[in-house]
Amino acid sequence: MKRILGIELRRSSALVIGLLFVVASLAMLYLMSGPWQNGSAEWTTEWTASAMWQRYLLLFSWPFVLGAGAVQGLRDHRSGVGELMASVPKPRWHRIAVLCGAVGIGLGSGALVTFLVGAVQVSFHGAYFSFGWLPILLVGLLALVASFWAGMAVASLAPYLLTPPLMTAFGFAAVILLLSTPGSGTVADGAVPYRVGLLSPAMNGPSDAFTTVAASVDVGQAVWFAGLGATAFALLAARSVRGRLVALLPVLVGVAVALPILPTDKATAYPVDADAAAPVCAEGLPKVCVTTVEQSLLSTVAGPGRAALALLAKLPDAPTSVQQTTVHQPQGGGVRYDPSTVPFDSNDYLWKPVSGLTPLTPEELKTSFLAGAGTRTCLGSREEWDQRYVRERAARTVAAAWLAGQYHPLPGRSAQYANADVDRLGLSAWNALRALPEPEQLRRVMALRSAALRCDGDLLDVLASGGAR
Amino acid sequence: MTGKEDDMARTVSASEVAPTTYAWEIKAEGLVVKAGRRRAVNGLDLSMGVGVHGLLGPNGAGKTTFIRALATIARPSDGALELFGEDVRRARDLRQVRRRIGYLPQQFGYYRRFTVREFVEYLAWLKEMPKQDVPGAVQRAIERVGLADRADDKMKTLSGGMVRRAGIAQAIVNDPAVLLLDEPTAGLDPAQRMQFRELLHELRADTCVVVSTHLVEDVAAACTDVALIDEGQLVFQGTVADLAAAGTGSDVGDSDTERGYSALLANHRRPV
Repeated sequence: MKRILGIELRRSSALVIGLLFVVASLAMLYLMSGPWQNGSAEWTTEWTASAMWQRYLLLFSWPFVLGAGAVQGLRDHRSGVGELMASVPKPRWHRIAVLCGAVGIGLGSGALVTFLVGAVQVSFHGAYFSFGWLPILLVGLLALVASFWAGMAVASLAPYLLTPPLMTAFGFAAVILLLSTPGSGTVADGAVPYRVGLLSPAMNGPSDAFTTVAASVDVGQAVWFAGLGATAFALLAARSVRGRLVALLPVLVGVAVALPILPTDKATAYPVDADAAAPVCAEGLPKVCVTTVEQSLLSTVAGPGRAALALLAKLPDAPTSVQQTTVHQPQGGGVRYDPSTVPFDSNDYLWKPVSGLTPLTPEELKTSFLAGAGTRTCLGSREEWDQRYVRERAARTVAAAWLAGQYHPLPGRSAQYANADVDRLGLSAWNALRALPEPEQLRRVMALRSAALRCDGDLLDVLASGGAR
Repeated sequence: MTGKEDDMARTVSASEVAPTTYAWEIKAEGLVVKAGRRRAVNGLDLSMGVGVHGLLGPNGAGKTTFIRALATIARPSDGALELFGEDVRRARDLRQVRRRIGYLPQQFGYYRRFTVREFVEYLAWLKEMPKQDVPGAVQRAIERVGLADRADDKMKTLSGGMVRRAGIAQAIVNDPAVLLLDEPTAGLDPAQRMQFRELLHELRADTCVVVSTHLVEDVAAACTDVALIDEGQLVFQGTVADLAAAGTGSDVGDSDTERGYSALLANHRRPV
């Protein structure tokens, strides 16, 4: 049996497919420019993110896995061994089991090696460690192997030359359809309910280092892919029409069990990992805290954060701490938060340089904490191209300038084309504000701050008029 | 080392030394086997014991269907078929029977990327041979068909005749008590045919070999016994000498056996 497994490993497509999987995956990870190598959580810097990005890339590789399975599934038909195999005493499923085992080992090793390449880099990066990546990886392995078997099963039932390319085409159609959940922004937005979309082997890439995958997603997907694998195996082993019909049961049961388990919205499916997001604060007061995964930011943020808090203290009801937030600005904007903190989101355009290659200077960091008098932007990521963005940013810059006593453009690399417009509006508003009597200046900045906290009205208008009394 | 010495050294299982409880390895009575809708074997009565039996008949006579029934692939639809005294139609589990059968199909399919040794070993595994016997049995089978020098070459690099011999190697690897060879000499050159006949000579002492062919001279040279079937029924069973004696100078053929073959067939087909 071990010897036969060895023969199948060498002579089936098992090792070739494993090798191809490694090469194709690494080629995508290294050669293609994508969020996995320039986003907030890269595949080489965080454990969970690494596993999630590799699941994300199944979007491209999974359809080919189906097709490769179909190629392997054609072997018996192409070699015409049916007659000989029908005469042997050993039950058919033994033979199928060894072949399925061999391709499982080959493909599984390919996926493991790919993960290890990321894991080694992550461990050298000194990243926050938890076992959050393990279920993501294991479910991915299960999905790959079950899908390869499914390709084999389909090809053994429909042994035609066109079956492998059709399986690949079907795979692409399936992943694209499953992507089209409500709010996905794809062409067929809302074509499938959110929980049905989670049946896809490919998952969302993480938007930050503390995003993880809900246990319900892991369990639901594991059940469904286990059902798929069991059906594929049973189809391959079955010799009668009745056997094949019975073989369909596991996948039907798998889907029926999985769907109620799977979550119905993105926030539940990809929650914040509470341990990874737990605050780590700098020693002493006032409080400056970052998330555990991004602890390394603390030394950078602490000094400028405290300097900003000291300047903000001249406002009535001033915020008393600087905290990294795990709630990102939604596309539509407008996030509520505790007004006693100055929240910063390491995903914001303002913060991208912090984890990027060109770090902000402490002075620039301080300015960014002072922006909008210690408030968050109210605009979503979709609105960067908007005139509203220019006006809000100008107003936020003026508030920071008033607190610091000097006009500095806000730091940040995105939307630089708008900087000239921002400064033109900002400088004239800054001059107008300075011309007012001191108490009125304070009143205007307070009005701006409270409008920014409520995300209500145009901040530049508020600054010019003093807002509604 | 020769094959004979290997034979002496190999372990003998209990089932091999147990006394047989049946008179014939193969026994068919009124056997009907369908190929599709056609009754390709149609009321065949035939018994075969140890020895080499040539299964002769024109194309479409039902030779292949009969062999497939013997290989327990085609299910008989009527009559009785016993292998080793076991009724194949009633047997709950054919595994025991199948372990003692070797089969070379007419269209011998194989995995192209396997080496000869790997393919024969794979079949030995499928035939549920005891694990410890496999490597020796594989080597012996490959040597007996004269493929020892190509044992570690991939199947796809073999010529047609070599593939046929590899097919014979997998059929004999489990030392079957019933060896079914459907057109085994197709694609073999004269030297290889001679070697094949020698192999049959070796086997005939302890094996029931059924060689299906439509080449009469193969039978004349290597078989102890001939069964001639036509239209799914037994026309003649006897020795090669009996076959030769059945013909007269007026029958079609280049040799006595061929003339006997023609005479028996013509006689069978003559309307009564």
